Amino acid sequence: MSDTPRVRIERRGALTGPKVAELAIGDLHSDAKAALDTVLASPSADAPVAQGGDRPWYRVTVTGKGAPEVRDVHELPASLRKLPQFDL
Amino acid sequence: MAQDCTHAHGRAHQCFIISPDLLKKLSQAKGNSRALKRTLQSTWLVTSNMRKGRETARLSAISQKTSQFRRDIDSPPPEIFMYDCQKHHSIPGRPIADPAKSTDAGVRIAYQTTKDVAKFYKDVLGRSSGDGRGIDLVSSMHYREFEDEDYDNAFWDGRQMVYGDGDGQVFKEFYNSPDVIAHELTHGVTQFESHLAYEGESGALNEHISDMVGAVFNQKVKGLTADKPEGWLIGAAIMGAKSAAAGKTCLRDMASPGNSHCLSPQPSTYNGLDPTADVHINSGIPNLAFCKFAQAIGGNSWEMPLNLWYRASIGGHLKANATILDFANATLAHAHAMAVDPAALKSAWRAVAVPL
Repeated sequence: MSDTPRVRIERRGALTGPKVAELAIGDLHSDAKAALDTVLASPSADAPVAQGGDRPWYRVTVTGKGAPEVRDVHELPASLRKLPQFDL
Repeated sequence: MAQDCTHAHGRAHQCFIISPDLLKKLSQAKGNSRALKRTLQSTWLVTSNMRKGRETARLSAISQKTSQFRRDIDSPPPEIFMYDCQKHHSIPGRPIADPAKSTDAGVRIAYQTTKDVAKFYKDVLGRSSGDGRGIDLVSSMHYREFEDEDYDNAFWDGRQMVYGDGDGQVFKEFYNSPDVIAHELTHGVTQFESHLAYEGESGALNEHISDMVGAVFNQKVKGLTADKPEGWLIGAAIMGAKSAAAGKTCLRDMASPGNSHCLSPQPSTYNGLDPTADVHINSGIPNLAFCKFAQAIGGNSWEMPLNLWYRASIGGHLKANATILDFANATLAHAHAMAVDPAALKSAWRAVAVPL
């Protein structure tokens, strides 16, 4: 596995299912980088899958040096939320 | 070996020696035995369950509501309530007094389709609404998570259905597709009837049951027999212009889960199961099994095939972490109970590499 820090942002749940963005953290816009730091500084929300039904949520995974970090959250700032796209 | 550390509920980290990504790779590695793959999948499920402590509370709440199979013939039809979110995120939104006569065509369509799905459940499966006792069906239209962003989704939030308008490019209005409304309403049925956790294989089964009822309802609406390919498409009516231009004719295709015309392609066999994937990915496996079974039986999917699958999915006998194989065995048990020849059923499951 490369040591280059990367982030994978996956929107899960709801009718449409997963949408994914995966890129080097160094390629993030400054707003997105700041938002990612905020997300990583906070604990995961209550388990999104426990909300009932199929309400959407996000899984943010950072890989690179050391242990992968995973955050499951209900909401993301727009700068991160808009990154995952369907493959068209 | 790297550890996967995940925060949950504000508690201290819960760290696992093997990351989900590594479990995923190992479970799909060539040369690993089926038993080893299953063990890796189980490990992933256990670690996921550990992280999601609140799931326990949800299951407890569901278990109090769970009842055995009931054909509640005498229950009244559900009342249907529609709300307008007016492009805001507040749910349920503004009540719509008389949705059947609304000037909003989308409201009229969603109201009538919800009514039709409820009637379908009653007529075909003898079930009254989500809880089997005529519980109100509540839907919110024109939902947006953020006021300045079109909402490209629909969901069941544990109490009601919520529909976005789509962005007009990737997706059109979600309430215009009968299978979408039946899909979301069926999440309510599953919530009342089973212990299926919304993750891993059990989550894939949850999604499968919704897709299955959605597709079959669509077939009945359009008078399509099981051999008609268009009857197995999920979300065909919500594909926007950009999706269509890219050759995407549906969100998922139960008859051909990995087809390039799917916006969200899925695996077709149990060997391709991804234990870490979103639940909408692995649902392609049971989706295809049901399709093959219904096509082998022939005629209308909403007759014996739907009844068999429905009976296998209700009654609370599926465990929280039920696997696709567990569900396949449940369908086999109900086939015996319903005096259905199991040959076609076994063949359908084996076609997707489920060892029944």
